[in-house]
Amino acid sequence: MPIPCVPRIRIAIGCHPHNAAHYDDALEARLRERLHDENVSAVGEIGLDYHYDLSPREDQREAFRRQIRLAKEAGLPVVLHLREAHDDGFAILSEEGFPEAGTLLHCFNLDAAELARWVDAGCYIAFGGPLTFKKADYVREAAKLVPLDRLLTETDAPYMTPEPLRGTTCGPEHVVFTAAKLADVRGFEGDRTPARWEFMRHTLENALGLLDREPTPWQRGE
Amino acid sequence: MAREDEPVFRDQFFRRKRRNGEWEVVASPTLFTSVADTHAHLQLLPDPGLALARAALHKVRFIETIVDVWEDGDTTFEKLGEWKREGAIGIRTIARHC
Repeated sequence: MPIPCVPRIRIAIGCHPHNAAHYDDALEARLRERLHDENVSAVGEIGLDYHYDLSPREDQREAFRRQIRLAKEAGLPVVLHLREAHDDGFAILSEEGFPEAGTLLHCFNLDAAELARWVDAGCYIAFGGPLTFKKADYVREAAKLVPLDRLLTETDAPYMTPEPLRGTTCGPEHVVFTAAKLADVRGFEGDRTPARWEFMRHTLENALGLLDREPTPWQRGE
Repeated sequence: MAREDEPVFRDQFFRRKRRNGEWEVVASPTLFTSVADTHAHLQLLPDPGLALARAALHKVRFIETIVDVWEDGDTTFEKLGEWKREGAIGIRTIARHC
């Protein structure tokens, strides 16, 4: 077996909605400084989390708006964390404008009805552990509807471990279970079929195209 | 951030805990192409270098790691190179025993 290489690694940095209460000018200045690092390729995870409400909702919305504006200024895509807050999240993005560099909806775990407006808005949809969960047929139905050029795989490691390993710590290698399930869901069953390989290659190319990007002129200070 | 009773296995296998407390190996899907993990928190893993080695051995070619500007500090920016070096060593160490 040929010795593989260490994966290519890029960084997304942002203020999680849990910490939105701390988002002030000083924190934004620190974020701006970090965004210039050549390893950074996205702003995230940012968004709204009305499930835990660890920061006041008004603070979450304000931090989200400010980071969308910053991402657009920097020419970078955004990685979204939205939980029980998709209506507000979509409204804010619509008002601010979806970043031209791209919008990635992380950990999609909702149904086809919710999916539609995000796909129509041109977002990338990332599927992780929930795609494999036993009671998540609605997520798998949604996954069938995402355009091939907008599909992504993820883990959220160390969280959201896919089946059949739920209950253990998740690592980035666990993405193979999700990728295999996604290929099955999309009708590419059987490990050795070229169509399945081609499908997986597409999801990898989507990730590289969106996230393994050259530093923007803003990042280079031009 | 490993679960309290979960040992770190320095190999490429996936495991889950049986009711008798033993850790059994779980077969992983066979991929013939590379894949991407577009959302991981490397710095929260118990051994990021080992995680990178395991990921490489399972055909993970790209990882986007997430950093929170408020609570994560500078760890990822400072340690990324070290994690990659440890990962490269780990790949060779594990592959030798495959």
